[in-house]
Amino acid sequence: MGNGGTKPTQAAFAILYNQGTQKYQLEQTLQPDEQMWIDIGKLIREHIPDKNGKALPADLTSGSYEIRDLTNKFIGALFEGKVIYDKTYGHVSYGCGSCCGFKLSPLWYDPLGVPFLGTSGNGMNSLDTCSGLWEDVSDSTYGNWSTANTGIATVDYYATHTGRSIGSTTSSTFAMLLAASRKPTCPVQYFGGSGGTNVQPCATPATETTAVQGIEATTFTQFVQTVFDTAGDNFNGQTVEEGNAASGQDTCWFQGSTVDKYTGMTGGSWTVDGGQVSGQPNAWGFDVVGWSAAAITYYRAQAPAHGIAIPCGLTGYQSMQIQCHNGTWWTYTPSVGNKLTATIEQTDVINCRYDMNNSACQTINY
Amino acid sequence: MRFLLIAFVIVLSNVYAHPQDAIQVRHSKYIDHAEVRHLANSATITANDARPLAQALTALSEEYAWVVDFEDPPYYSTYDLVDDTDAKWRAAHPTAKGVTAIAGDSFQSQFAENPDTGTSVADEERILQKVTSDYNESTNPGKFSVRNEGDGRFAVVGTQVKDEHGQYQSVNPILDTPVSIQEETRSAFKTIEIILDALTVKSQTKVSLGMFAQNALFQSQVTIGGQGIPARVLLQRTLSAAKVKLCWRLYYDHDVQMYMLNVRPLMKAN
Repeated sequence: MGNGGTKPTQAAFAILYNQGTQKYQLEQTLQPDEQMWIDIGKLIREHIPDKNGKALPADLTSGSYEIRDLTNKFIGALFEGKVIYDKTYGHVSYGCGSCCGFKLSPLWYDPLGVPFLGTSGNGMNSLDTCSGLWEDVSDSTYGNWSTANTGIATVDYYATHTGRSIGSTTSSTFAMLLAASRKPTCPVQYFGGSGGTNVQPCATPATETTAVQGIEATTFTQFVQTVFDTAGDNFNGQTVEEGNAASGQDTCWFQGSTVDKYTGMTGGSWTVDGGQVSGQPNAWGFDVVGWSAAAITYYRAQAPAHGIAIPCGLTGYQSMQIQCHNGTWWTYTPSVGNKLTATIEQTDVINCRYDMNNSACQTINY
Repeated sequence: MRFLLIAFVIVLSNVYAHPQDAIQVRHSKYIDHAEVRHLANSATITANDARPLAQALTALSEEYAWVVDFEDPPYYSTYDLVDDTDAKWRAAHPTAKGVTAIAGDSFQSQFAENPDTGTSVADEERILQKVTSDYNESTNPGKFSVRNEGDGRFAVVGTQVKDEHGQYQSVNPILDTPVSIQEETRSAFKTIEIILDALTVKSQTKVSLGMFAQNALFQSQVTIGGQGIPARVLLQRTLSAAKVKLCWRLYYDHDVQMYMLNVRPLMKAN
């Protein structure tokens, strides 16, 4: 392989063997027009160690290889040449590999929350089709960002958004990246990305994760939630409150039941880093989900004869809002809300909380 | 032709002969929510449920943001209860006892409405009295009375049920039972559990906590207690300490001979 660019570049060569589970890696700086010659037969015969001190097995007869431009991550300058495998046995393979390019280009945050007269950063990822990993390609988007309504939000060269007035708009950007290709060529393609930008009265959580804390009153699950935003703001001391994103469902209830029909959230509120989670920054809780022990016993005994099969359960759709320091409220969950479920089985109850960014369940033997 | 007509008449006459058909017909008439309809100077409320008065009170509570508690009387006779056993379950359990449901169905009431309705406690009491009175005049199970519990809180309490001869019989509302609990600071949830445990022991009737506003009751700390105080009063004091307005529904199931206390937040309709 060689450097077809006009500047020196760091070239990486790797041989993958044992069904791709093992990797032999070499690295070398190539000057413009300089080439890197690799005799794999010699590497095997002479047990030449790679950059990590690993040698190729003496009985190695097949494998694949990849080359990577480490200096120019998104649009490489390397070109591939013929690879000599082993002249002794007549096996010769010509370089005609497919290009390790990118596909898909989502923004880091969609929608991006931006506090009024405050700032929030965004970026873009893209999927490396060889490694299968998402790469941060934000460097390639710098200078390409724009917003649809600059009265609501503006964005600078480095994708830092500034809230100009409360409302919603769209942010867009693009990057020129090597596209995934089966052909020996590596085409450079336009990768665009766009997403919503919401300017809010204050910093609001962009993500919320949930975790099981423990059991309350035998059959309920205590969940603790942690909130974050792009700027790493501190929400401690602020109040969060639940509401209904949609009507709740109750598949255990029957006409005449002594247990009230579940219809939705009951309006709990919590102080971030306060109450039962005091001392846990940016955490709120406990959010308690489940059925009372008496309700579980009642439904197991009575519901089947009324035509209700066990398992049965309740489902609620919880919207969450946070109170800004100026007293205004802002809903930070998506319109569908968080899904909370509690299922009565014959010998267990299963309480789950499906949050914005993850979910957690607890099975209680009762 | 005559044979066909006779057969058709026989089939029609037997439409409701099978208990399962009667159950399905009854269930199909029930509505999810009672409806409040506003007229020029009055309003009507229409309910259809196993507990139509409770359904009507829930709708009024949501319409006007009223805190209204409800308490079933202990129904037990075939005049107040109907068979509610599922056909498939019955087929699988041919010798089992089966289950019943309260025999309520449709109910409608009309009351005068003015601009103060919803904000005036006197108006609230007048309307609750009118609706409860209309209910007591209907053929629905039980008779109820309205109690002003103070501080803008009302309770509609079951006071009579029919006996096995179809005659009305007075009952003592179970929440009037005096109980004693240690005065301590506990969560509202724990306090209610202790009140209900004491009530169960004193009344010899199981009373448990069913559906409730979990976060409100688990988070609220209350200091409640006393000797020989009606369970109703202790419950009112406990709920008053919560951050949100709460009311209760105390429902009775004759099949298991127990009450379930449900505590719900006040939800104002939009």
